[in-house]
Amino acid sequence: MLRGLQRALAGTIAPEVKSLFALDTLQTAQMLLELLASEWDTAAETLAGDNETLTGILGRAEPVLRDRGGDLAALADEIAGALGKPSRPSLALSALADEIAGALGKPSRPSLALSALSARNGELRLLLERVLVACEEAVGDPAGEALMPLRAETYGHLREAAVRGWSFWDAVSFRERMAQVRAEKAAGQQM
Amino acid sequence: MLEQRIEEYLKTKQPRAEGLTVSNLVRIPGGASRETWSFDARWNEQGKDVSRGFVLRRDPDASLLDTDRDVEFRAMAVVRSQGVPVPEMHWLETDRRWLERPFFVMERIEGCETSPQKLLYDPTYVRVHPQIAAAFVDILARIHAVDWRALGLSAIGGLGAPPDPDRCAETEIAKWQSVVDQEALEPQPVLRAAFSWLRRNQPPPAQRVVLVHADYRTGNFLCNAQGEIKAMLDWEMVHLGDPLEDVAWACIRPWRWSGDERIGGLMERSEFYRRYEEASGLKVNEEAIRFWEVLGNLKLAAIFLTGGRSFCQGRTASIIMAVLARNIGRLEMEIMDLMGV
Repeated sequence: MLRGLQRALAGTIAPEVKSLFALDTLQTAQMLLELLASEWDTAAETLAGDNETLTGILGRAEPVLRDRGGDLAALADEIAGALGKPSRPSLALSALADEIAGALGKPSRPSLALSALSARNGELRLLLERVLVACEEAVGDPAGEALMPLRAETYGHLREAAVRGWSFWDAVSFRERMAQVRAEKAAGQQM
Repeated sequence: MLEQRIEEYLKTKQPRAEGLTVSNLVRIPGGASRETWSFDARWNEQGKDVSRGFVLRRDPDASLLDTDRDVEFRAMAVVRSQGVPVPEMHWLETDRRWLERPFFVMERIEGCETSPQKLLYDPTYVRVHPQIAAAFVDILARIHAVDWRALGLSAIGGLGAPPDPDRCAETEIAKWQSVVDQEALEPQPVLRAAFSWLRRNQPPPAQRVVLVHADYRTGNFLCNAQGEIKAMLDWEMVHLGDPLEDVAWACIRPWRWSGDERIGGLMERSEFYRRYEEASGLKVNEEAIRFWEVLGNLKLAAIFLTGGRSFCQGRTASIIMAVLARNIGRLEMEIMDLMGV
């Protein structure tokens, strides 16, 4: 269907479009369709796989965060009180651990609808975001050493996810190539 | 019709022009912030026929960035007076009764190219790459040499209060973190982590607080076949800050259009640094560049996310915004590489 739509845009609609701006917009639309077509077939599998990976990472994160949150809590309270500082990060991590436990303990729904997979992915990524920020803020702190393997594992997953899809350069090069094709076609028509 | 309304506007700005007509109005593709239109105007003035080309930049219904076109207009006018090549700025109009949204009109420069594909692959321009590279660096140094205090640029409200040299980095971190906070539609773990990294790895204080173009790169200048850069464009993010921010922005991977490591597709990094140091009298600190490259990639991602939100919320129909926001993965990869994680 998507490929058919691309053909219709290129073969039927594009030849009727006169304005340069409208043609450029049309070809950007073709590029977006190309993107979607290339991801469509594996979208559910990719999301389901990511959700499984994120569940694993967060499952391993929970005890690490809880452990870090627990053992320094009392001392951190006293220091923060004496200095008038805002609430200690260790308790915040413990609360984060609770949220992770709650999210992972939710009854799993077998839905393979992209909307359901995507919503779950968003939920897990939000937790992952907070975990990663906590890890970054612990860099250089000897007490945060336990978080570093978690940090490395998280970045490993994010790298795998980041390499999918098009780069900005791919997108702009596509537009430039289309502009070249238009120019060559126009030159050919003038001859 | 837009052409007719522009004609009516120009008549009020050129009261001595007789028989003024506007024609050949064409919207120029590319540019995801302001709308860019080209048109011709003809009139008779004191018995002489005058024919000129103009470019009109109008605020869009929604854009990648919410920037102040007053700042862009006034900054360009001021730097032009200091020998920085920019188009001559004619009129800035904020009254919406003319074209529904604020706009400005500037000179149209003929006989030049801006497309990176053309500049980097067309033999006409390839043969003058050394001249283009030299001009690229020279103009950047000239911008950074502009005495913005003496010229009253700090009085332009939208330019931002001049930061202290040791606050330039934090000012930009806070700015772009605020954009991600407001515009991200989904969790952004890499970008959020990068903000922490940036705060932990701030560069030394700026050697000098300068006028930062903030989008200085191949693709944002007009160049002729002799390799002369006739105009630097797209000043909408101009602000006061650390000059190395501009140096690093020119270096980030999305602007290495030739697909190799050459900066802007024009020259090796070491050459860029060397030329810039000679032209500006400033030092290029590699660790500072690393910081500003991380921030530059993060800034570009934030800009794309802004466009994505605008598209999803129906404030714009510009499809390129959807495409760009959909594909920040490679920027994330670059950020992680630079952070060494």
